[in-house]
Amino acid sequence: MLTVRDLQKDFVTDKAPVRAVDSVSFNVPAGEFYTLLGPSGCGKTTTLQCIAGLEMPDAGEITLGDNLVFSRNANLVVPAHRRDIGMVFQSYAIWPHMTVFENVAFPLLHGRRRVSRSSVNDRVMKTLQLVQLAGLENRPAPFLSGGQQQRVALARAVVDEPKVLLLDEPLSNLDAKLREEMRFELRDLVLRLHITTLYVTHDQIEALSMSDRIAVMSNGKIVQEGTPREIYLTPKDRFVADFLGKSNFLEGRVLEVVTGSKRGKVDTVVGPLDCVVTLAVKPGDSVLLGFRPAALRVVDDGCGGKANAFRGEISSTSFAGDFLECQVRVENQQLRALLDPYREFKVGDMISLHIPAERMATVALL
Amino acid sequence: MEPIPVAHKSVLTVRTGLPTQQQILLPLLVLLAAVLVVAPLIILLRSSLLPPGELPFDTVSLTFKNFAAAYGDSATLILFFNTVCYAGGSVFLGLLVAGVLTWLVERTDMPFRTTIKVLMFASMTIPPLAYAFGWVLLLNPNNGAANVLLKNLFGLDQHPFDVYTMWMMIFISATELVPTMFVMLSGLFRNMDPQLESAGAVSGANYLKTARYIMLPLLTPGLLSVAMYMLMIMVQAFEIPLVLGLTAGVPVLSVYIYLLSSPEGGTPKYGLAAAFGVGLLMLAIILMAVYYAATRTAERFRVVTGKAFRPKRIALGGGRYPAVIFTLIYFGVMIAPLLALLWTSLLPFYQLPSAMALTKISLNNYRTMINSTKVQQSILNTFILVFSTATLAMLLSGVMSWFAVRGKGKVARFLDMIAFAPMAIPRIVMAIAILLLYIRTPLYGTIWIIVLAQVTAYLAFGTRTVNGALMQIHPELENAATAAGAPWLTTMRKILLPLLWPHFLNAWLWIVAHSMRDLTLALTLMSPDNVVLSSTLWVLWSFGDIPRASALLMLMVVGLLLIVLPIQLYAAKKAETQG
Repeated sequence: MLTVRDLQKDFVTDKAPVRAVDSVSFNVPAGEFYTLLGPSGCGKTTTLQCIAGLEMPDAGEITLGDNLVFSRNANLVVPAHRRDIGMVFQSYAIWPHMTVFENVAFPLLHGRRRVSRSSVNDRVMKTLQLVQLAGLENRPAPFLSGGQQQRVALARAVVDEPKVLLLDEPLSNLDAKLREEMRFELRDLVLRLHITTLYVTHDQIEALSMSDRIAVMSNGKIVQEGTPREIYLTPKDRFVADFLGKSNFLEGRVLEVVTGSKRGKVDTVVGPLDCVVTLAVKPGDSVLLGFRPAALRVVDDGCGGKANAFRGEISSTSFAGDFLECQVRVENQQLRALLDPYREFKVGDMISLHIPAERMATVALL
Repeated sequence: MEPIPVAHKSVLTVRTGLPTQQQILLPLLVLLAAVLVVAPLIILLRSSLLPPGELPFDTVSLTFKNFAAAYGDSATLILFFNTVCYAGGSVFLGLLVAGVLTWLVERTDMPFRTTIKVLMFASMTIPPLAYAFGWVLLLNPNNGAANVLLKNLFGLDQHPFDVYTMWMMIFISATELVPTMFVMLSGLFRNMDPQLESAGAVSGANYLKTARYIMLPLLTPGLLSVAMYMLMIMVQAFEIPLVLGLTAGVPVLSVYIYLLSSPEGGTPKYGLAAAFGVGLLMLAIILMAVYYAATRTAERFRVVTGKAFRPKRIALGGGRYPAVIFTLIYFGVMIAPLLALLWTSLLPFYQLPSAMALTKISLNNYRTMINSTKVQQSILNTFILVFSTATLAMLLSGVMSWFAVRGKGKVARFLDMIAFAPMAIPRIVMAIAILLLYIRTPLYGTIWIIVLAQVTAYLAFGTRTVNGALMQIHPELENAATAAGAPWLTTMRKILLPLLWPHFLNAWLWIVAHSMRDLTLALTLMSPDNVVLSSTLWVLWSFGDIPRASALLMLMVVGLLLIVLPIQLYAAKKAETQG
């Protein structure tokens, strides 16, 4: 439904041109919820604006549905207002001089797919119902709460049933509790409408919990694309691992690579460890291993020569309710572990930890 | 969705990525800006190099004779000296009075603060011609009313004041500048965080020391930029120097250029006028450069923290009385010339106030003026002039500002620069340049040439106002309309215009008021067919018809107040409700 090929966008600054988007390519099939995730300045919003037509790319190709809307080679560009999209902005961009109804009716009255006056009312009311704003249609926009503004923005974006919905950090201006609620509501709404969605965020929890697929961006490039599970559990490099929550890293030397099974053994300070090998490595290479704090499990009957197990001393604890966060010292190496909150561990306790091979992967060559 | 092809060569359109309606509009706008602002300047330069007695399009020969004649004469040095003295003196004196008044109103608990503010706003609409004429009636050396009164009161041999001196010109211009300065300074004083003063006080300094070492240094850049801005206005001031300076024998540049182009006898010396115009333009550009440097420092010292704070007011205590007396004297000085005008307008011929004269009071002058076909024609012309000028200038400013603020790249910057350039082009220079450019076209002699000149002149003010307002509007509000499928013009009409409406109205009104009181352009470009109120006034006055000129002036002042005040109140209220 949405295809982006080799997109490139440079910004001219005072000093030197900055490549904000660097040969970005991806494809979003109809009905999929696709997320561009990355820190601020990674090029995700610029990519979104290029797709919306609010920025002019320097190279590449963008296809919406069956229509090519931008192509440098074919020298073709469809102006923003003729692209079949709906968009929700970070600031919501609710027009303050209009009521809720007028805001939502705007695309139907002045947009690319105008409808007869009589059906405007129907369509607007139906959409307001969908975002649970029925009854507020005559309220002036300045008298809306943050969450309500968010819903109006959403209603306005979907009221004329666009092919693709573009969401630019739509939850970042809400307070934490509302953000969590809206996450589920937004996901639910998009599912019900069967609308292809491109979502831009810097929040890993939003990305992980809402998306069908995620592209992690850094410095204008997509560094890894995959399902939330793939991205989180087997990050391809240290940046992805670090950006998506906290990670533990261990340096080591490759002992063996099992051909055809993506498994291998790496020698580290805590001993030889079985792990997933995602990089092209050969025995003798120095690599970095990464694994999530939740991957570690306490074994109560000691290590006893078990594979992938080691002993460590708890150096600090922090009770966080859902889990007990501990720093564990293993051979001069501090590891972060999320442990069972019902257990009582104290600083100075010696514990045995085990990490299943499939929960640990090579993330970089050193 | 039909794709539109992008032209290969047109780097500009591809780069900026503006949709179709804008792509059509932008080149037109650049062209218009060039015709309005750049073309007159080129003609001015060309004319300054003309052989004497020629017009710019009639000959191709170049000569430096005009520059030699203009700048080889030591009288020119005096001319520049007069101009700088007059401008500098009136700005300095005005700033002194305005500074004290603003401080009293914004930072102390002095009584009648709101009344003072309202009076200041109202007096901004009074044309400088009113003050010039009024003071002549009060202080002329033969029979000025105040002069006679003081002479009899103190038994003096001579009249104590002579209005036809440099000092009086400076004094009158200063009083006229105070309201504008007051409005500009109010923001400066109001936005200064009182915490900065408290910090000074806490560290043990008394109020005078805090004022000296903390407030004054903080205010200096702001004061400086207001002073420079006013200097730019005053080196091109025309009305007061025209009425007083000629008789006083202290001509300033603007008046001298006018006399060269519209001499009482003989042929106009356009070449020489243009050569002097180039000199005045240079002076203005230098001031502009200094102004820019000063405002940049003002940014650096920005004391506006954006926090809402309640200004701490100083309790004046016994100091209240001198403060009120000072304010009363100021407003007395402001109202005296208007009273003199009112008195004169009610009499068949100019007379000093007396019981005898009181019996002759009537509204005859007003009746004659309103019934005169010439006056009716000039009132009609004035209406056409002010409403077309304000409307066209604001329309053009709106579109130019949008491209300047929202657009990217060189074209945007070029437009912004062009729109601001008229700020540095003295009014009289603009008038001469436009006269020379259009003298052979049918436009010349019609009211529309004055409209054209005024639109150009007010472009700087219009675009500054809209730029400021536009920068406060989040671009996503427009992007949302575009994403919703609205073409550019629809976005402008349905989203931006309603949001900017109060600012537009205010600026429109400001232009209406200033366009009506402008004499420079109206007089320099005057012909029998395009006489407006301000030029009619000057003609009546110079023919010695003082009572009728006074009556017409009173009508104009009342008319201005009636138009400006209600709309200003409405706009202020609207701006408040929209937050």
